[in-house]
Amino acid sequence: MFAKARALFGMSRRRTLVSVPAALLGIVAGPAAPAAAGTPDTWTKAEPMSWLEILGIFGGIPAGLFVLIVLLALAPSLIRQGRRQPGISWWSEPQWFGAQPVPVRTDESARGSQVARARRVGGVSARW
Amino acid sequence: MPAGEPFSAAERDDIEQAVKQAEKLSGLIFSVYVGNADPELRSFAERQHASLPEPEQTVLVAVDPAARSLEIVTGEVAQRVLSNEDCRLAALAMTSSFAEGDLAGGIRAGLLQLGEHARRPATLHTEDHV
Repeated sequence: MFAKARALFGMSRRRTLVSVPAALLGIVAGPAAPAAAGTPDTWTKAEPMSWLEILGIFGGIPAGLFVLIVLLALAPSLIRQGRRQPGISWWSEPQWFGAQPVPVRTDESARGSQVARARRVGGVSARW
Repeated sequence: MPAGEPFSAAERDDIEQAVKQAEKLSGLIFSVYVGNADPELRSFAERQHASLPEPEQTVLVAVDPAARSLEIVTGEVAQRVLSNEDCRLAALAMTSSFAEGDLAGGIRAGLLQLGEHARRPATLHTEDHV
């Protein structure tokens, strides 16, 4: 079959042995060769950027955006803190809403009944 | 709000309205104390609860912002419709708001939640058979 093919393309066996590796080398090494063409002459030549410019664009802008986003995220809690600071101090007189205590009798029987009542109370304690 | 006043007029109104709403929903009496407690809030709240006009039917919500602590005290009758578990859920809602600095909002939300939990369903078709 090969003899028939060689006869068809007019190649001897020796020529085939030389030309096939050469073609493969051209396929592999061709693209790796340095490009011969430069930038077109009609393009304007830009001045190279200074380090300060590079730092400003690639460092300053991301850092500025980072600070801006952090500030936007913290803004609501900062505003609330300005309004009230729980846990630091209570600067006012005690406040009552709804039912308010009546003046307590100081005799022993009244105190005894209060203690008895206090034993039956329910509820929960919580902290924040 | 004026300096030294812990609540604005609108916040005071909100809390008063919430007290009324909770009382209407539950049929219980609600009382709210906000201020310092000495020496410890639980014992202070129980003493105050005992000196309320009708302690058995009263739910006292005591908040000490300086100590960052909250107490809910329920009287003997109030406990029948308002379990400690209900109080715990309300306390959780309140402390979440307190931690964000919203004292009035937390009190209001807690009162409404307590009132909702203690709401007794209307009893129908019973008076005719008594």
